[in-house]
Amino acid sequence: MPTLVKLYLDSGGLRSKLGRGNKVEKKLRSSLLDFLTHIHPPRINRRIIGFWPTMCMGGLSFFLFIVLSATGLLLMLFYQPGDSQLALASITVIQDVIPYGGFVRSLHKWAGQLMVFTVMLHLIRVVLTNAYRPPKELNWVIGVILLIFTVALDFSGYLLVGDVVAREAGKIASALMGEVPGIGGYLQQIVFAGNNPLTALGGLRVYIWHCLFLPMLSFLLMGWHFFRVRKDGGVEWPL
Amino acid sequence: MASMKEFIDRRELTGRELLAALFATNFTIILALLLGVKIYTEKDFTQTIPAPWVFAGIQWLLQYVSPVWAGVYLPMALVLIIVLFPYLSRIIHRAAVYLLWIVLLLITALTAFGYLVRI
Repeated sequence: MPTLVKLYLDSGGLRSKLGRGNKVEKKLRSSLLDFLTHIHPPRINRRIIGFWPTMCMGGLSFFLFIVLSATGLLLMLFYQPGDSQLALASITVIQDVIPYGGFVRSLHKWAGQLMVFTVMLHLIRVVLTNAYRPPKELNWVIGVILLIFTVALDFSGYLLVGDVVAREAGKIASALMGEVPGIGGYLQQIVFAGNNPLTALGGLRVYIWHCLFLPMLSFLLMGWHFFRVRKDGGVEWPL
Repeated sequence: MASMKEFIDRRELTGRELLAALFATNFTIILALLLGVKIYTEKDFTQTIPAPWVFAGIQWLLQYVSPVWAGVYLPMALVLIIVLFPYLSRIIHRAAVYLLWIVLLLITALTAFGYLVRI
C-alpha cells in the first residue's frame, strides 16, 4: 500500500496541474476540490491514521453513503413509487430487464447493509476509545441521530421493494407506530400518509422519505458531525 | 526529520483515503456479485415472514410482549440511554459505561437471537 500512496502522490495528488500562483488555479482551488481537501487537518499524527484507533469505520460509513447515493440515483431512473404492486413491477423490470439493473440493485442493497454495520461498529469504537468524553458529547448525540437515520433509510428502502416481506414489514411498522401513545396517529400520517403504507400515497411517502428527506438530513448532519470532529480537536490517541 | 516521520500532511491523508475507498468499492462489488438480491414471494415462506435483520429482535419480542412495550417503550428507552450516555457518564462515571455496554449487548443479543430463531 505505501507504494500505491507514493505513486498517487508522485502523480500530483489532488493538486491542480496549472502551476502555482496562477489565477485560474486559485479559482479552481477554492472550489469543491479545495473544500474536500480542507475538511482534513493540515497535518496528522502518523500513529493515528492506521487501523487503530479509528478502525476506519466512520470514513467507510461516509464512503458507503456516497456509493448508496450514486446507485440510488441510478435506481431512481427506473423505479416507480406507488402502491406495492406498481413498485414491485418496476423493481422486477430493474432486476430482469434493465442491463446491469440487478447488479446495481444488489450493490445498493449490500452497501446499505454494510453501512448499517459500519455505523454500529463506529459507535462501539467511539466507546472503546473514550471518544465521547468532553467536549465531544454533542458530536456523540449527532452520531446517534445519524445511526437512527441510517436504520430508517435501511428500513424505508426495504419497504420500497413492495414484495411480500416489504408488505408485511410495512404493516407491522405502521401498526407499531400507531401504538405510540398520544401521537401514534399523527406519526402514521407523517410517515405513511395514513395507517396503510401499501397504498399509492403511502408508497410515495416512503419513497420521499427514503430518497429525499432522510438522505438530505443525513448529509447535513454528516457535515456537522465532521465539522465537530475538527472543532473538538480532531482524531486523538485514546485517553 | 523526526517531525517528518511523526506527521503526514493532508495530501497523503486524502491519498490514503482514496485507496481505502478503492478497497471498499472492490469489497462491496464482490459482496454484491456473490450474494445477489432476491424478490420474495409467499411461496418462499412456510410460516412467519422474517423482519429485516436489524429488527429481528423486535419481531421475536413481539411474540411474547405487548406491541407497545416491544415496539415502542423498550426501543425508545434503549435509544434514550445511548443518546444520553456521555451526559450520564459525567454524573455516574463508570456506572454509565457499564450501563451502555449492557444496553449494547442486549441489543446485539436480541438481534442475533431473533435472527437465528426466525423461520
